Amino acid sequence: MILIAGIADESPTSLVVDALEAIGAHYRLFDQRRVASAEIALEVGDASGGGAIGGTLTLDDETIPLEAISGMFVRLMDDQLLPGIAEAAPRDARRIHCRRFHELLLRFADIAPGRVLNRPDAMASNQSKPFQAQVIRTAGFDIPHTLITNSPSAAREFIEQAWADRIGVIYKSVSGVRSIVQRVALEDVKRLDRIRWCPTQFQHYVTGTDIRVHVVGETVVAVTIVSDATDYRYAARETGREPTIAATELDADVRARCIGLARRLNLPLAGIDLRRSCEGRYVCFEVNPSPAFSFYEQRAGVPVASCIARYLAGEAD
Amino acid sequence: MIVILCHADDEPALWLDRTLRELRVGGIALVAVEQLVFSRHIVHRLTSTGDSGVIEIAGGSVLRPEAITGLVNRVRYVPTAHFAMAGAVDRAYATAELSAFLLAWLNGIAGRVINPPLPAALGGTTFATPTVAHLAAMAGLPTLVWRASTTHNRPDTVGAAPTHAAIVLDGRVFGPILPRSLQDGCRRLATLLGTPLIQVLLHHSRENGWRFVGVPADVDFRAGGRPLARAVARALGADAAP
Repeated sequence: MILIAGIADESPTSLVVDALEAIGAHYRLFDQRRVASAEIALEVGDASGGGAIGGTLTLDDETIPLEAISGMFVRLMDDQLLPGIAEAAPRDARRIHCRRFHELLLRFADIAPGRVLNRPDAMASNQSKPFQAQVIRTAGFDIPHTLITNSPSAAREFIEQAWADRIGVIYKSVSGVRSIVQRVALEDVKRLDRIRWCPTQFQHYVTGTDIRVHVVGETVVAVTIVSDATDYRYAARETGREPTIAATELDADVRARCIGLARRLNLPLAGIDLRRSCEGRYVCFEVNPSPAFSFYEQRAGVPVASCIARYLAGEAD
Repeated sequence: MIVILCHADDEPALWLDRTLRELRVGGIALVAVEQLVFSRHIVHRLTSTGDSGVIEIAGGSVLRPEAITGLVNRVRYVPTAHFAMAGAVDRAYATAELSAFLLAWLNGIAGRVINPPLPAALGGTTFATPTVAHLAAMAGLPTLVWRASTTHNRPDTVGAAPTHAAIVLDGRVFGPILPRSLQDGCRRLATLLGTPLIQVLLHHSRENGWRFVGVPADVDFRAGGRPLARAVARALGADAAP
């Protein structure tokens, strides 16, 4: 049995459910909004049993042995922000139950013996972009020339040198906190003193074609994105035009590097952001461990959800 | 340069620093996490070929990741006293940014880092209890059943107090003399956790025999004594006096 955990009508989750239905896979859905009617008991066996994982998951009136779960798709929103929980008092029984349920479900996902997209422990790499960049580098991709600093003079020197070389500079968050990538403008240089209180990340802007790669196990699905915006996710807001997204094929070497990168991060499901530079270099920006693949699937018709369903069902490596 | 990076109240790390100096290990720098995080001059560069940079710390010392040949990583948390006046949202954002930077800085050290930082644990050794219970059982250590559920407030575990503490560094066991099977189990657990340095807590009693208790986040170097301090020096590429 495959367990889907998330918000039932969120696009990536509902696409995976549809894909599982299409192949006739046996699955159950844990909708976070129904956490009040869910229970979990997790058990780790003793040494004589080799630490076997056991327990039960109860969803509404059905109780499922955890041993029966052979695959998991984990796309959980912050459980403290769920409707009915967000407004509850800190010691409210609903909040305590909700937190405890999610904590145990996540710990189960970490050690469950089946296929898990993705294990919570591994997803933490997304909390540091430069840490990911270091791993990306070992996987054979270029990374943008980057400066992280709380020194206004070092930042100014980096920016002015890049501009002298006719290279643009962007700034973005160091952590996984979602931020809109912004180009450094002349007026930004005047307020560099503000970076003194916290190191800030600056990067050379890489010109080229954006490529979003989804790795699912050994399968690679790629699309190109054409947009005038600095951050194509916000193209409509920035330029008034939606990005153009189309399916593409990658060279075998690049495909292999993407699979290798996902493997290094222990992420059988990964959304990899590449840019093919004008000189043909592949520069990698980051790897999303919980990719919103529906954005690309719905615009380019690429079959990410069905790849996920087949992987979870054991029909694809 | 070998750096011992720890918090000011980290007694085992301070003991290691003193002991390495007594063993005439050269080039040791004791750096408080607070010194690093509160630095007024942090510059860190990443390119496709490697990391470089400068952090100026109080007292005039300079840390360069490319010049650090070994680092003992004892980071338990990111100090954020300097964000105290910021609003809650800004403080949370700045803490996440600083934590993300510190992870990459530790990971970008040219020399060996013990323990290497993990995205979920800057100090490299914080593991969830069921994960440790599962892997300890797989390693052949004498674990009991671990249970927890939404209907019981506390995990159903035997709360035996530790009577013995074994330390594993690079597959070698330090501390009290233990039965061979336990030593082998401790080594296997370190391998399964993917961590070069761990402390394994055990309980022994006449009626129950040996029981696995847990793996604490911080190793108490004092439990391994001078042999462990020498091994740490060797692991970081330094020589210690015999």
